[in-house]
Amino acid sequence: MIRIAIAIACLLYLSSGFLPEPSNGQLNSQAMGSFPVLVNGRIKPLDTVARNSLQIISGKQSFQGADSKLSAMQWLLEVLYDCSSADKRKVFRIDNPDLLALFGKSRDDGKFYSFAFLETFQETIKHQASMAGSIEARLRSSFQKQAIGLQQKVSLYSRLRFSLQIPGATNVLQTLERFMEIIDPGLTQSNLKAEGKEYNVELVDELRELSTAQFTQAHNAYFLPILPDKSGDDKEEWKKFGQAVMQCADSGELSSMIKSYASLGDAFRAGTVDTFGDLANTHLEHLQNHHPGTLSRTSKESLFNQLKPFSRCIVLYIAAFLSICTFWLLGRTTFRDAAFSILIWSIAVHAGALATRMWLENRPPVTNLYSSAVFVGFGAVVLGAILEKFYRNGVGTVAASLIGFLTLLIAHALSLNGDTLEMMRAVLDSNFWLATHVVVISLGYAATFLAGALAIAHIILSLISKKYIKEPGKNITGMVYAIICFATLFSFVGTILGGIWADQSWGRFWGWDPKENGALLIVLWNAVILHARWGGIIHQRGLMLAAVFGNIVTSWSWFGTNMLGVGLHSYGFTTAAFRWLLIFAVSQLIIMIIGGFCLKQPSHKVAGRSG
Amino acid sequence: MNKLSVILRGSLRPLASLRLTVLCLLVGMLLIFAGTLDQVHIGIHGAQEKYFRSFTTLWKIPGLAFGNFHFGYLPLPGGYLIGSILLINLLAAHIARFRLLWRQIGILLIHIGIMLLLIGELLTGLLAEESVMNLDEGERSSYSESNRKTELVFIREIDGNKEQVVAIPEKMLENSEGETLHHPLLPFSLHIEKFMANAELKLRTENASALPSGATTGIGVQVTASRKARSGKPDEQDSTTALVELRAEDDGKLGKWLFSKNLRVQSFKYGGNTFFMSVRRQRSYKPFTLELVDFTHDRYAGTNIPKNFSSKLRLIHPAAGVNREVLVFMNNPLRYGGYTFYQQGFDNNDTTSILQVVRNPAWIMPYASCTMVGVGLIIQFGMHLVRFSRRRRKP
Repeated sequence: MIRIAIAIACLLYLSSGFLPEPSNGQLNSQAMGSFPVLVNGRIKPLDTVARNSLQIISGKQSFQGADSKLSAMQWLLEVLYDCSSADKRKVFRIDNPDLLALFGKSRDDGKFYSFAFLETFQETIKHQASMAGSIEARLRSSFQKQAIGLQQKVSLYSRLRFSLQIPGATNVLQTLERFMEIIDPGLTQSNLKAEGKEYNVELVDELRELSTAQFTQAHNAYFLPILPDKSGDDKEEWKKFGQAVMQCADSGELSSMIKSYASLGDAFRAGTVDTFGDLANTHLEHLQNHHPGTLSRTSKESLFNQLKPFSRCIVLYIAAFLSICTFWLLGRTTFRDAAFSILIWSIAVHAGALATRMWLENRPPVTNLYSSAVFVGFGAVVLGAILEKFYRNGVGTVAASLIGFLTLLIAHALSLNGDTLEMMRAVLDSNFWLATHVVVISLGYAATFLAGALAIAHIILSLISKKYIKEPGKNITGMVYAIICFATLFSFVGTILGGIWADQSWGRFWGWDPKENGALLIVLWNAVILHARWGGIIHQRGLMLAAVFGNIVTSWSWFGTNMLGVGLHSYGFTTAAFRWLLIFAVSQLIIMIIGGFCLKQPSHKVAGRSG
Repeated sequence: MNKLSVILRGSLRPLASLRLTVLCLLVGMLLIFAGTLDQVHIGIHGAQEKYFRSFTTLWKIPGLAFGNFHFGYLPLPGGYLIGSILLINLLAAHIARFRLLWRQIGILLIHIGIMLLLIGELLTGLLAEESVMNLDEGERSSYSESNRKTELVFIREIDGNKEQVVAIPEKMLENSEGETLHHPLLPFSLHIEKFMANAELKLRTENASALPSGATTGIGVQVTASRKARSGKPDEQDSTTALVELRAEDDGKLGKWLFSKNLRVQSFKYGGNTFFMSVRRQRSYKPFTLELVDFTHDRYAGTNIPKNFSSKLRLIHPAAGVNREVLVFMNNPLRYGGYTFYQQGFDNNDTTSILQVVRNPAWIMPYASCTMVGVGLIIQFGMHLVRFSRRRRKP
């Protein structure tokens, strides 16, 4: 019964994501959201460009103005087609007070500023950023980092403005058609000019102006929206808008894709909702007919963005966690079953989202720090659910839902830097090793974290729940021990596979590189725990405390080593996370101290060698 | 026999103790942590030598300075010492505690694998050589240059188009400081007055207060040279520098020369021959030749993000009847004649390819040991799992 109720609730919650965003009589920007464009070597929907850009610039995926709320896509359309309005929107988030002072502002004036405002300080920003850029990355002050960040935001924004037209242009379709019309006669005239003969000055000037505009557009544009005519996936054939226009100059005929992008802009500025919708649909039909494969991917990605499956997982993990906590407090098994049901639903969504990402990217699950967080969480949650299935005591659910929630929160924080499906650096570009070494080592992280989470659950439950001490508390040693065995296996095999990859690709099996050392620390720590237990050096309490310490070792290996900024693995460099790493480590130490004082040593049985 | 075995086992017990294992692993973790943190200061090579390829070491714990006084020093056993103790501990454990039982086959495999891994890392540290081959497009080469080691060379032209090279490795210079070196191909001997593993050279005109280098002839007269610590950072090369007096057979002094990695080639006429002298990266010659046919560098469309680098090479080894084209790219090296060539980098607007050349006779050991440990772990934990699920199935 409870299972059915949970299933209905989960389905209702999940399907709510499919509802279209309310349009409030505005232009339907969603159709355009799935238009494919090429950015940084990856074909993605405009919707992704919109969300990532707005995320980078303002720290959010939607814009909340004084009187209106815009979705990322609505905001992007305005930047692309009507930047005089977009420039006035306060989207740039600036936190650093020294940076604000540079513009004569303080925190009281708010955190958000418009491009129109920042444009007047462009030189100052550029100057500060270039001075900061000459300092080694890890030595930069917070002001310097933010100055560089702001410069990048401003540059991103101004490149976006150039992506589909010259900023501020009107009647774009008409202008382009005029361009096509005069190109031949104009060229004849300028040849006359070159030969020193009499020529039509106005026509030559007009042609120069129009072609300069296209070059400027192509030079500054951020993304490449024009697909090749042939349906192939050769990314070299993609063109920037201006490039494509210049290409049409040979035939004197604008291609349908250029026409539709230009008229979409004209309709957008005119505010004609119906025309805009019709044009967007025609464009979609064209894509469907000529590039069905590309459109299928980008429209799925756009839908994926809209559904935000990982955010929904976070909600479900919290629900599972609350439900299982209620079980511990009230002792009603209904809550335990409900929690497990919710956990299974969440795992299903988590798995589906991971699989979708793999399909979109055509890669194994872990390709960067962000996806490692998503996958480590997934691995730990699945292991936790298996434990729960075996023991049916609720401890597995507590640990799993806690890790699922925390790792996805970390993933969310990591996603704020931009595109999470970005292309791989050359050295990592090997699906075989990504699928073996990286996946196995991530499972090693997952298992070590799960062991740590089980131990934390044990420590806290022993403190608050009398019911816990009576029953499941006895099984905890076996559970943690089993997971640590699993962690040892996976972290060892993963580390070794990494060594083999290194031997294959740069000639040494082991180089004592920070990331390698980090992985080795996890292996050694798990080996310490197992040997200490076999040798009777630690018993239940020691095992629990050691497992919690495993969290610190693993988080060091996962994030800490990247922060050193040395070695071949420092691709996932992130500095702001250092404080969080420290906070996490301290919190684990506090839990260990609490555990050390509060856990009772089971006196009736001395755990001897069980291995 | 039995008595002997009992005595043996008894005496090995302390060495075989699990407490010793745990202690070694814990100290090992601390060492690795220290060796990782210190890479920020002394570089990855520096850390390898200081922490992992040493018997003892002293860790300067970061953040424990009081003004100029640093009080946070911690002496630690080095990688060699911990590795050796772990090896002895493992061997002793197997003699004293374990018996050859099928049920322990997993543990046996794991432990033999780990012993092999430790020995393999030791051998790699002792035997592996890393060097670099720089090739311009169309260029041929049959030698690679060491990343870190240098040599002092005396080159003289013979028979018009041949060169006779006498190379003195850096190590030999270092060990012979204050002594005199002789070589049958050199008509003079070398008295090594001073050797500096790394030095800072400056023009005397810019640095008037510093002491002159001591050279009496050559460019060394114009410079000052001061000792500097070895760098150890991957992107910095030490500037090996030596002050050498050349002495003729009859002990006639031919002047004191300053040779340095940072100085250009100097020449010297003696006995009708011109000698060209310089300090360069140590070369190692191969019995075969590589020619760079073409280097390509692909980027992701519309960006500068590298997608792939590859070098099309011609491998020429007449003695072995080999002359063929090979392609080296990321994750796909060329293995030939005991050497492995990896695509490491590129230069000069994508017309120079930089290949990493590695000779590691022990390269197979980690593969063997890893397979053993992997299989061992699966057997061991698999048995746990089977036992566990049997126990759970019983009511």
